[in-house]
Amino acid sequence: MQNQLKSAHNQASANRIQQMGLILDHLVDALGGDPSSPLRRAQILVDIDAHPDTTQSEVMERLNLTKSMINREIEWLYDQGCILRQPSSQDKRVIHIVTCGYSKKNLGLALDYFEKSHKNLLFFLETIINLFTEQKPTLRDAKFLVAAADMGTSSRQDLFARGYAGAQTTNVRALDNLVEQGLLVKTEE
Amino acid sequence: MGKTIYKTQIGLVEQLLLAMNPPAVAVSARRDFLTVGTDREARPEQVRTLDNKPQ
Repeated sequence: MQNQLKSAHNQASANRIQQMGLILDHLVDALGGDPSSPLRRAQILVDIDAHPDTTQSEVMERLNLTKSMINREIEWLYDQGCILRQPSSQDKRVIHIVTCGYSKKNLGLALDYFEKSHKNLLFFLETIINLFTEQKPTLRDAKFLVAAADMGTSSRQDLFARGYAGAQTTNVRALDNLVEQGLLVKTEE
Repeated sequence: MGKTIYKTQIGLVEQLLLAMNPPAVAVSARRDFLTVGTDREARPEQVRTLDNKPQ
C-alpha cells in the first residue's frame, strides 16, 4: 500500500522523462532487483503478465524470439520466483506460465503509467530497445540514458548517482558502451 | 584538463519521449467507432432506412 502511494506521488510529480526512470525502477524491482537484466527479459515478463496461463512457445511467437533465448530467460524468471509453471490438466506436456508475487506487484506499478495497458508498456520497451545498436541492452543502460536526457549535461558522478548501485567497473563499462553506440556524447567542459 | 561531461545525442530526448506515446491509431479508430455508435443512439431521427429515407 505504501509503495502504491509512493508510486502515485512519484507519477504525479515527475515529468515524462523522469517517469521513464521510475518505470525502469519498477521493472528492476519486478526482475529481482537486477538492473543487469536485459530489456528483452522485461518484455518477456510483461508479455506473460498480459497473457496469464500462456506457454513458452506462445511467448516466443508473439515476441519473435529464438528458442534458446526464450529457454534461458524463462529459466531465469522461474529461478528468481518471477513466474510459476503449471502443467496443463489436459496435456501434461504443455506447461502454462503466470507471473506471481513481487514481480506481478511491481509490474502493476509500472503499468500504472500506461493506464494498465500491457500493450503500451511493451511498446515502451520495444522503442527503447530499438534505440540501441547493441544486441542486449539492459535496464541499467536504459536508466543511464534516461538520467542523461533528464539532466541535459551531466558528469560521470551525476550519472552514477542517478543510476543503479553496482560495481564501479560495471557502471563505467555501461557508460562507455552508450558513448560507443552514439547515444551519449562525451566532451570536456 | 577540463571536467568530462556527458550529453545525450541530438534528437535522442524526442526519441525517448516517443516510447511514452504509443501510436494513437488504435485509440482514434476506437474513438471514431464510439462516436458513431453514440451518435446513432443519441439521434435516432437520423437513422435511415434501406431506401435512404429518414425514419
